[in-house]
Amino acid sequence: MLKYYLTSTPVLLRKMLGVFLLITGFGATAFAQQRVNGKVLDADGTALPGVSILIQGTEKGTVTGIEGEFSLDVPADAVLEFNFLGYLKQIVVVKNRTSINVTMEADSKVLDEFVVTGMGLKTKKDALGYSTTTVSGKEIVESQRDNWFNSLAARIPGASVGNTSGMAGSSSLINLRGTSSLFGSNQPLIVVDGVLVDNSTFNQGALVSDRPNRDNDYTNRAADINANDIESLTVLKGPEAAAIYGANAGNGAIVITTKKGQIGRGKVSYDNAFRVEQVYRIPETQSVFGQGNNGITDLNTRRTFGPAYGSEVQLYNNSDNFFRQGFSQRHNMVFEGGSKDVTYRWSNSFQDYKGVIPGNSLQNFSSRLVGSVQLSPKVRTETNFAYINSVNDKVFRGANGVLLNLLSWPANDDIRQYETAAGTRRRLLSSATELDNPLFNADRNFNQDQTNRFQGSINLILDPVKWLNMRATLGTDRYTQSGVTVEHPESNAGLASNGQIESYIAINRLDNANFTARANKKVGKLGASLLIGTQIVSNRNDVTSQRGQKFFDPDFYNINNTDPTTHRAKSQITRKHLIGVFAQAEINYDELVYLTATGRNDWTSTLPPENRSYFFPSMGLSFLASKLIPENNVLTYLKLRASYAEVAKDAPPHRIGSILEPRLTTGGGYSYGFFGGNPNLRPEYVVAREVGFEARFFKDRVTLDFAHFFRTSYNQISPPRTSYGTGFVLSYINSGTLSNWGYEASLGITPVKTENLTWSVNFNFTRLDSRADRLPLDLPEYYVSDSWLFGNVRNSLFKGGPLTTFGAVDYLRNNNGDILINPGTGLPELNGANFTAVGDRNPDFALGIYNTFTYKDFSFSFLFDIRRGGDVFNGNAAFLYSSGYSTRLLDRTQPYVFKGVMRDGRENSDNPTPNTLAIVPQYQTGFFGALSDADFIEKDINWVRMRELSLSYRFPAGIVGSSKFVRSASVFVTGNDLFIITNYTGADPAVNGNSAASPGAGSVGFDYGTLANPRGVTLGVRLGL
Amino acid sequence: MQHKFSRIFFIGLLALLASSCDEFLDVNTDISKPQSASAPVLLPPMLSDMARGEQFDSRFVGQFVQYWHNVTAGTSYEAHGSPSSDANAEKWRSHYYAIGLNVDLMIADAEAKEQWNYAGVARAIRAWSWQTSTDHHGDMIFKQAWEPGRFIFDFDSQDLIYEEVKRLSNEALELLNRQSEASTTAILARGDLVYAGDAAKWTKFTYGVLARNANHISNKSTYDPRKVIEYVDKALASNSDNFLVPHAGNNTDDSNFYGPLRNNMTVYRPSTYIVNLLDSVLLPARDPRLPIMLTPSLDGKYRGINPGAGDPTNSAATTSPTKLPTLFGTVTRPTTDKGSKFIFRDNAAYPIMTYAEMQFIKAEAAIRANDKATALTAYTNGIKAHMDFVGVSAANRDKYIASAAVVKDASALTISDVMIQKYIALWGIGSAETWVDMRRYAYNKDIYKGFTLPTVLSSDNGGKLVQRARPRFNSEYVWNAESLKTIGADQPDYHTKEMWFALP
Repeated sequence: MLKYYLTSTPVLLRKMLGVFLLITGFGATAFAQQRVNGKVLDADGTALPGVSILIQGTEKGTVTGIEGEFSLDVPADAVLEFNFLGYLKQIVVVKNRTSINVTMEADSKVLDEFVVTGMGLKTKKDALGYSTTTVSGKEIVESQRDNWFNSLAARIPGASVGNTSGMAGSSSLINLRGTSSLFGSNQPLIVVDGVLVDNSTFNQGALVSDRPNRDNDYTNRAADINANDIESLTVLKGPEAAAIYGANAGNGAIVITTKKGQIGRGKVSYDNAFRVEQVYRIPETQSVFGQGNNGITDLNTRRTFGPAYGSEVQLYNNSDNFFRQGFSQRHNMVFEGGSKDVTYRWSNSFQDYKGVIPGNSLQNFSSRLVGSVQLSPKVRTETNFAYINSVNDKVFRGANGVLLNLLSWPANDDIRQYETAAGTRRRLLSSATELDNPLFNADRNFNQDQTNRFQGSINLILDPVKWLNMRATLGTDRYTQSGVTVEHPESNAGLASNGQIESYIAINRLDNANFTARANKKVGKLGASLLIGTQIVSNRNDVTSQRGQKFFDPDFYNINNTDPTTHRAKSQITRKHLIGVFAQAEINYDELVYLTATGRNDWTSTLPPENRSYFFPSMGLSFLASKLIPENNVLTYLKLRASYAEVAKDAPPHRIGSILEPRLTTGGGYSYGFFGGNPNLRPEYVVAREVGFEARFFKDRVTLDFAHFFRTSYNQISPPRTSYGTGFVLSYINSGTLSNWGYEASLGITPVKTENLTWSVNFNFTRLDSRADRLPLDLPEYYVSDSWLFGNVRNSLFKGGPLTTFGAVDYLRNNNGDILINPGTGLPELNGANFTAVGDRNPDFALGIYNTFTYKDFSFSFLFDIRRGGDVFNGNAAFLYSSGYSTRLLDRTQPYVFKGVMRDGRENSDNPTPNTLAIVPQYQTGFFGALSDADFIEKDINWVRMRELSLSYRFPAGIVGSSKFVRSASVFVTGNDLFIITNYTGADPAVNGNSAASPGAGSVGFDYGTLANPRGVTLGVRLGL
Repeated sequence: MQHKFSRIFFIGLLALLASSCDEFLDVNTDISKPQSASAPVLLPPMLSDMARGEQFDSRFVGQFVQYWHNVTAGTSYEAHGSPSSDANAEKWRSHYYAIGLNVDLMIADAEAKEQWNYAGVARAIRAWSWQTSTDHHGDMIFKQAWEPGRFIFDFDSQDLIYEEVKRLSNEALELLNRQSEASTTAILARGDLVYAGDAAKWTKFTYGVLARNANHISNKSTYDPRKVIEYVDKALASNSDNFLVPHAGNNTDDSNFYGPLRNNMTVYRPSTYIVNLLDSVLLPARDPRLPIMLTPSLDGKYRGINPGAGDPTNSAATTSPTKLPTLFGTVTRPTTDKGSKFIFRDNAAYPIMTYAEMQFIKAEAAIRANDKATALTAYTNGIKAHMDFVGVSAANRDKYIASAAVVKDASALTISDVMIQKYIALWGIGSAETWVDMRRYAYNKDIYKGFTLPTVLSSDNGGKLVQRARPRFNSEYVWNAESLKTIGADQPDYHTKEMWFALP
């Protein structure tokens, strides 16, 4: 009775009660044999006030005070029970001790019981008909990633997380359950405390220079959220989330709950993290042959098809001379406190990060204030304000980027000598257009983004009567991102324009207003809840950019320093508004069977008025089978679930009519842009089905969650290229059907659990498949042009094939499949410009294995990221091969005969003529250009990657407690990406040739001109004051 | 207190929903880019695209007609080949897309405002575009072109397009002649960077299009040389009528396609044939246009390269006395426009049609009509006009006219004399028309004396010479492939199929 009362009252009340109990001496007893003093802490070493302590077998006990302290007279052989809501019960034998310090462990089961499913709504996990994954903020912080997106890799079944490159500030993307939009974004919605947050990555199409998203990267803006502010993060994988969040959540949603101030004595905590970083796995290049062609020295080419270097030639390790040791420091300081009515938490973070490439750095500052006020017993407000500033200095990537500059530098030349005595660029060739020296590129070209961001939300929560809860939220996310790129007049990129400077300012605004009302009612064994709500979203992005060329002074970086006649400016404004109303009804029978139905109607601004309103429903069923069997220790929990959801996705803004583009040609004016609009666009439709179960065995020592889903997307809105007979290059249409299906499993085992040692291991398994059922306009091939990065390899969709197919120009072959050889040259013949399916990026499966050990005050954890199968295009290798730097075929002075048959008219006869023409590659440079790029698609790439390894030690309360100043302290060391074991011959098979702004199935698995993820070790201290 | 607050909130919310829902959602018009524009704003880009389309493809056509050759030996185009590529199909893009529907937008705006001159100009441009595009590509999408909601298109034969050119030209002529208060020179001048609003010059240009249309079918029984002469006489009447597309030359966007800034012509060198024509090898006098159009090596000698042979001096040092200079006039591509010459300057205007060309068309038609006196006058006018156009001094011009290189006896004037001078007068600025001529005369060495065909033809050709450019690869071959089969464009030798206009 006492216990129930204590654990169900507000914390402050409990504390007061505790004091009351102490004062009244309720806990003191005439039979006291001895007095025990002690302190109760949580796993982080934070004092826990209000913990109830009961002497087993009696009704005597006490409650911890404001510092977590307690004092109790007990019999010498007493057994104490420590109870606190949300924590596992602790049982401690006194054994004549007079001082007992207790650490309460969070009860994951209790924390898991509720899931934040929408707009600040918590739903009992038992009731959900679909699978969700929750990751704690602690785990995210401990992963020590600069972009918290990357900490989710290998932790979420059904998700693929990809950092686009190893550069500081690079964009990262998350994809849940595959590609549901051919051309649209496939990234989930990000929601913080019920408010939508902009996670866009700047799209270079808005610039005057209208660049593709491959030569420069921009942070995906959700990375601005300080990981230290995340209490927990829930991943809603399927379109079920869209019932509440609307069409934008058709790709799933990541719902973040921020940390709130805790009631109790004010706390200050400080922690830091210092990381050193090293470049890892740079593609190898040859240092045997020198500049030239056909075996003859030619100092006017950077290609190394010349003669071998003599032994007297000094060779340089240019790679070592280029990269530096990266270093990052991060400091977090949090002030928090609260009383019964008011809580606040003010969190600040500062980071200074220098990447492994000279010139690449990132500076972040984030400040977030979260507060709540209980205005009256029935009205509460919660506010959340954050200011974020970020400065990212970058270097160019891709074809003209530093990495390929470096790899294609002859070994007999020292890249460090990139300047002449006069301070101008030292040229290797007399050709003015030669690729840059990477150090010159990093030093003299300039590339920077700055972001100033404000996020704020106000929640008004009303509980007018016991069974009704109402919530109104107003939220805004506004940021200005500005940037400058400078192509130095002497650099390759800036040569033709005699220097170019381009700057932009992007002003982004995402406002949303939500209102929900939820009523709960229980009649006998029937429980029901009804939710109604509305959501209004307003989104506007304004990008203005300007460009100037022809530098007056080559080394002064400002648009004032350019020829005024070359100045160009561009404005791009996109607006999108949406209104949604939704309802959700849930009924349950005795908390045994739950049936949930939702319906939502959206009105969007992006579709023609007659199609702008659309409705989509969902249904979920959950059955707690374990409630029907007697309580036992083997199967403690079993839930079966099934769900069906539809969601409609609207069009990109401004695509109903065809838009005129301003022209930069002489006299200016307007003409139609590439895209033909479509006044008849309808929403895309997605239908998703999911079945699964959740089981716990052996007192929750083993947990298993399994889901199988199938999702089909119809009426794809995409702008395929069509015949120019339309008057456009690409035309927006509704056409095409895609399917994705997969299996997800998560298995948790706690093999060891003793007082001092706990070992738990978590397996996350994902297998995804996809199929293009129908391509737009029934075309034979649909490709995402952004992925066409190098050579003739691109992400092509063929009817009936997976969405992750590699299309490439393969060899011409006879009916037998033999490569056809040109009888004149002895070189293989390529299949013209015909792209055929030659590979698939999709892995057979992905597996994350997360181990944690806690031994007394030590904690040790590591995360393996394992993948099996899936092809990767090694574009770097293709580039290096065709330019002479590849380590392949170093025996190039030996004659070589391509395996194949002559294309002599007999190739399809019974006796084709085998090729016998020998070529000595050293003397025929054309040999190196004869391969199909498909040869550089590496098949069935597996990897085992040590994503994270972390060791931490918490100083025992005894040591820390003696100081009045420091209340808790811990130290940690974390390693990131320490090693990768893979059959991939390139650097990093997980990088992406484009930024996260690239649409559709993206460009993960296109490894070209992109820096591999570096490895790093972080050291830090956490202090609670 | 809180009740009052919440009541205000809810009432506000409901009011917002009820009253301004539609208004709230009507934000789907792009406020940074329009969906319609007035005619004067639409015209300048069309003019730029007229030049771009021709110049882009002239890089390849220039190799067929031997105006210039690639410094690399054995490229496909030098061998009259047609690789699967968007190259040599810029006309396709220009006709359907770059100029394309903008014409209809301009007509709609002009007709609504009774700006008949704009409506006429729009039709004249489309007529010109059909004419030059079908002369390049042959069969095209005609009847179904630009049909809303259609994504697969049928091809139509060239004769239909030739008829369409006549129809559109006549409509244009009528409109250009039609008067209204809104149809003034000042209004047309706002967008007309070529003729400064002079509708009379647009009329002449339109007759020029008709002259080409009528002359290109010279091999047919329906050919009427009198009609050709009639059109020419109403067409451009002096160099001041030349259709010159201006280029600001400030940056890559507004520069001449041939200029050094755009870097499109760096791999080409003059052909031996043009050098021989100008440098008194094939004609008995040295042409004063030689130093203006071409550049000698450091040793003072003019050199060209043979079809498919590549430039033997390409890898020679820049100081080599025999190294071939670029078309810009310097040994390497100049970093500034200074030092670049003729039409290879960043700010050079590009001629879409010249008075000289018209005179040569007239001369050819007059010979065919057995009116050699008229032919001789037109022939001489053509040479003089082109010399004036390129900037030859009057003294040098007259000296050349007086030389044995120019025919003075009308009875001795042959088609070959006319075509050779036309060939020179269109060097670099009229590759498309010259290609039409060469195909009409089947690359005949008796007409183009001293002309030598490439020694190696592409293996796809089956020994035949190039006759047409394929439809654009990334438009038709990838996205409209089934229709292509109906005209045989899927065949490897489709580009050697003779044009309708050249057939008897």
